[in-house]
Amino acid sequence: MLVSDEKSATRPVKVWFGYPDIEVTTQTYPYIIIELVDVRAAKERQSTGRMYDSDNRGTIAAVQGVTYGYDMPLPYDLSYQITSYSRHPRHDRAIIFQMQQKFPSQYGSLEVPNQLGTETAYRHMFLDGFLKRDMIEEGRRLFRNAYTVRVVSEMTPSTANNALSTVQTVEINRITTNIPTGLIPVPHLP
Amino acid sequence: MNTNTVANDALKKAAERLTPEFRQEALNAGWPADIVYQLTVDEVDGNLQVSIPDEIRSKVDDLEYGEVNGSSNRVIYRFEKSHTEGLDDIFESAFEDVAVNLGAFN
Repeated sequence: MLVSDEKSATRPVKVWFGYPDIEVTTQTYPYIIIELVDVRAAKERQSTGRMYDSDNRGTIAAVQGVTYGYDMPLPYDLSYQITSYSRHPRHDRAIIFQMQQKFPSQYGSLEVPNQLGTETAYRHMFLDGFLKRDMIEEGRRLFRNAYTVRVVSEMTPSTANNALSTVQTVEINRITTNIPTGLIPVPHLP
Repeated sequence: MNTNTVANDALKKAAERLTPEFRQEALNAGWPADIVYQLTVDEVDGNLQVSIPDEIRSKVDDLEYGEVNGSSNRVIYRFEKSHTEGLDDIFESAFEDVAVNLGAFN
């Protein structure tokens, strides 16, 4: 995202995920902070069943005669707060304009290409809220805008199961072997 | 008795039940008690929402959206998005009452 003013025609708006150190942000207005504020199971979008395809939902190159099957994914809503900060009113209006362009009629999409670069999904996004929070800070104007954005997402049950798998056994080699050249083994205590 | 009246009554019942739940969540999230106990869940124009008195709105916005260089703590947003469980039962019960009153099961 770029803004302009009398000193720079193309001033980049820095973006951080989460709050950076104060010393960093005070030097670099305008900037934007993106925070993940909620992860919610979207039960109202849940459906059940089993699906089959040839590329495991775009994650594996298709091979003739090979089919992948998986359960319907679990829908989740990922909610973010996007807060913009600027000292210059022109920067503030430019940021608002560009954000509104991303959410015509409160609705937008987020491009998500797969790892292979063979498919691209466009996740629905919803602008759930907008709040203008301008203030005076140390005698200077600070223009703030808080956007609440919801991105639809999903997770397959197998992914969830794998994430929750419990360690059953832990095997430890008490005698160290195959020590790389140049390294010294830690002596075993009795 | 018409369906709108029943639906509004059902929403009011839900609001009464959800107010203490919301307050508990806000307290758990670290919001100060003197602010939390001024907040209520109310039925407004057929919807449930957290009501904020004007005199503390600025403080609540600071808590919810974060102060300058401070993280947000979106208690109200999360609550309003997530705490609709149980409303289905309340509405179902309410509409059954209407159906009974209209003689649907006679």
